[in-house]
Amino acid sequence: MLSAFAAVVTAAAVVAATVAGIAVLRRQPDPSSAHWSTTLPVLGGSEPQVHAWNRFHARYYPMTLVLVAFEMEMMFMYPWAVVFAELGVKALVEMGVFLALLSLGVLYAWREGALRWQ
Amino acid sequence: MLTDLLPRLARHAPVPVCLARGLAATGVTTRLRADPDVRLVASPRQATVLVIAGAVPRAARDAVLRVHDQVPAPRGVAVVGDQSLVEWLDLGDVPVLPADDPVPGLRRLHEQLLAGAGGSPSRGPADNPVEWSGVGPHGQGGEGMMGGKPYGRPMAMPPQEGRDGLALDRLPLVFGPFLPALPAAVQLEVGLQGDVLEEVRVVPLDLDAGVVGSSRPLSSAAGRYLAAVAELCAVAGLDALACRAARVALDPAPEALADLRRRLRRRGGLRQATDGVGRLPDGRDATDRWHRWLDLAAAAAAGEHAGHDRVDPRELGPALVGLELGHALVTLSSLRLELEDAVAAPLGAGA
Repeated sequence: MLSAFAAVVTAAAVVAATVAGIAVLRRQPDPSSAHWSTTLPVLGGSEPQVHAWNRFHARYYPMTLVLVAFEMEMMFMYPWAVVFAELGVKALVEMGVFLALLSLGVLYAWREGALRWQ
Repeated sequence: MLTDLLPRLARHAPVPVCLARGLAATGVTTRLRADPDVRLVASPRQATVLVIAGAVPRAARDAVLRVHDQVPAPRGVAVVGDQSLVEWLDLGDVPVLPADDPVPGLRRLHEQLLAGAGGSPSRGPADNPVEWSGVGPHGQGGEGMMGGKPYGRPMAMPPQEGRDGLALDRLPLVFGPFLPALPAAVQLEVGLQGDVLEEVRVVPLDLDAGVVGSSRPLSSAAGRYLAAVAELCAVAGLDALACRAARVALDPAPEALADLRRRLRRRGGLRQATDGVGRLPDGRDATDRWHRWLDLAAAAAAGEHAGHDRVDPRELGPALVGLELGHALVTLSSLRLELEDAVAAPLGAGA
């Protein structure tokens, strides 16, 4: 039993020593290296005309949000319904908290217009 | 300490140099490429020192400063030629190196940076000058999270989507005028679908306002052709061959020229990267063009002067449509001399 803890303590000590070593040895970052003009894409002197997200924009994002909000909750609700009678008020509170959190996502999607027919 | 060891090792490495090249800068480009103490890099992100050389068009001032800022800090800056570039760009206290021997000055600059010198400060804005401008009350996107102008740069909103709704957005980009693959004083405006060019314009910079800096082309005609071959090798990613071609360009002896031709034609040589690439309406591909340069170099070394044609950059665009971006850059690089001479014609100077 003690040897198991010794392994955990040793691993923690190694991690702590590594983090402390990096913190001591690292060179302080130069604030000017984070200058906005330094971070622009390299085009040989030209500026980008469109945003970098142009080609990688997730158009399925509103659909994903709505799917998670209205469909995936059922994955939790079915098993919850099976044990609801057995657990009683505790299960009711847990589902209340889950739905409250989920409703924030629904409200966000509503505000962004994801529920508007286009 | 590790932090002391790394600069000591870096001191013995070649100086990674980003070259912002104006017109008529073949002399310094070739000297830097031929020298084992210098590594000409493809992107300012890889460099520690920026070298500004040649006759830089006044219209390219902002572009030079953008490239300057893209070299990570602490960055060294040197100008090859004369003081006029330093004053025009307001660079402060930067060394002016001689065009015929710039390397010792670059090494000194590199060592100063490794010793902790601050380097040239960034010139552009520290923060994005344009606010996020989405249509929502909190600056978020536009229609259903798909629109808006993040930091003043619009998202792609094609007027009509493909029938599957998965149309890849066209990406408009402007390259240059200091992209190493491009001839001097030329910009490439493209519309990309994936990696394929669906719209191309090759635009020469406006030289009406004049140029700043001294122009020092290579003195020998053979050297100019071989310097162009060296640049084409570098664009194709063949750095060792580029270095060899640059050395022959500085001293174009007939035996060295024959040896270079043999190496370029070898399996794995330049031919492999250029065969069939950039075939223009005249029927020639990039391989035919650098073969022609080698023939002209050999003729010039033998005392004959044949000369080459000029190519108007504005006429090239339609021929590049449908190529992949990399092939288009190889094609433009295989026309470097012809394009640079056409662009520099109003100044009455060769590149």
